Amino acid sequence: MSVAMEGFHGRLDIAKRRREFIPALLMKAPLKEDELHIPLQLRFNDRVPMIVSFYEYYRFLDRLVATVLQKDITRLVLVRVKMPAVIPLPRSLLDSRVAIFYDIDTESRELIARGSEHLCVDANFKLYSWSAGDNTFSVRWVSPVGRTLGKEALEEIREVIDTLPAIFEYSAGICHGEYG
Amino acid sequence: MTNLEIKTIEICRSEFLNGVAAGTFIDRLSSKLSKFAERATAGRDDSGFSYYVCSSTLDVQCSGGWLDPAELCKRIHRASRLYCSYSNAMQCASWGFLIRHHLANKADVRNILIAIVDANPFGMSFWEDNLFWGRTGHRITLLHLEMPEHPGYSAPLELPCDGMVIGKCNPAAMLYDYSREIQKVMTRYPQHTLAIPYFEGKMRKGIKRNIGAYSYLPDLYEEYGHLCGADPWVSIARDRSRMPTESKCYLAASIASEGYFCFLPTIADSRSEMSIEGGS
Repeated sequence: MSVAMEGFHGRLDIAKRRREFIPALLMKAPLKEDELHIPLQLRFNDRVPMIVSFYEYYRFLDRLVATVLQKDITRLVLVRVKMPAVIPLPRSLLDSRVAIFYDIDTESRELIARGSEHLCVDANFKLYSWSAGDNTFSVRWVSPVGRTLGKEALEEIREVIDTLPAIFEYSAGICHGEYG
Repeated sequence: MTNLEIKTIEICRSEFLNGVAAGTFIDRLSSKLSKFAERATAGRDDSGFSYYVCSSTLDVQCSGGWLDPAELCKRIHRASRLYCSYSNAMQCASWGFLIRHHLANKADVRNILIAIVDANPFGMSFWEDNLFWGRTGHRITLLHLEMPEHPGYSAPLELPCDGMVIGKCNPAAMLYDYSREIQKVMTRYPQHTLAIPYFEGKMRKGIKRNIGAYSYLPDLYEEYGHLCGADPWVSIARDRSRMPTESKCYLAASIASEGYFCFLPTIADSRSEMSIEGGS
């Protein structure tokens, strides 16, 4: 099977961070003082900086998902969310054309096997101090029928990504493989 | 919407996942969930199944890198050949959002397996008892739901997910909002028996006042605590008012602390298999 994939991938960059007043949202871990052995069991890299907050991350997802749905760029969006319950998800992410998973690759493979086009929004941001996020992201259009996004659609997506303090680039290709 | 048929509800305790290393946790859990898939698919075409795993309590463990749900899903896929995806985004209502996604995008895959996994591997006191909802019970709830054959499912304007009710309440006025949602959905499904989450005394009082007019299953908080998405399925499995030969329609419902909620119309009949570890 040949699958057309295109989109943007990149990484948050602290040098691109602009000053902005946002609600202070520190991760309020539900731990007691005598439970501090728990974070020691987690596997996060404490050298990875926190560049965006939960608030900014959800604002980014909201803008992106609302744009692609309103402009009819896709009829299905897979979004990666790893940590629930810090602040509520924006309404656009509750839309029936959006599905949220911890890891979207398996779901994407199943949809490819079924011939369903979709957009993958895979942001793995470090949002609190114990998070295992690495600040990378990709926004990837996946078409098992070989359709590519138009220039306008790509521009709409690029504009939203441009609101992140990040460096990113466009890439496109055809993937050949077994998806059944 | 035609009701989803309950083929199996299996409830078991999750203590065997507590206090173990990450590797052991994933070995034990993937083995448990894979065996369920083997039983459900035995003698059937596995292309007619999708598998979803969800959890409310495994939050810090996942985002902190202790547990990799992608590895869990890979193991289940290797053992069962079923596609398996994990989500904890909608907390206690995750199972409903996963079913909606399935019905909207894979309506021809008639069998849905859901594992609602609630465990407390680190023994966090928050996940035993807290000010928000009281005591938490931890169970692994394994569901096999089947869509009845329905030619209309291929029609784009008649998606099977249209019968599900999904949304979000204002967390600041959650019980009030939720009661209103219950009233709305029961107008649509007056013949169904409500199976809602378990709440501790004060919360329960407010809800109970608003569901008195409908058929509903009892709150089992005293026995189980709040069950993070598994509660309606335990209630259905425990429903002693249903005769073994009787078909009965239920509205399985969950609500999460951030206000996400779901209602799913289901039906149990004489072929439905239900078990609760330790008996009922």
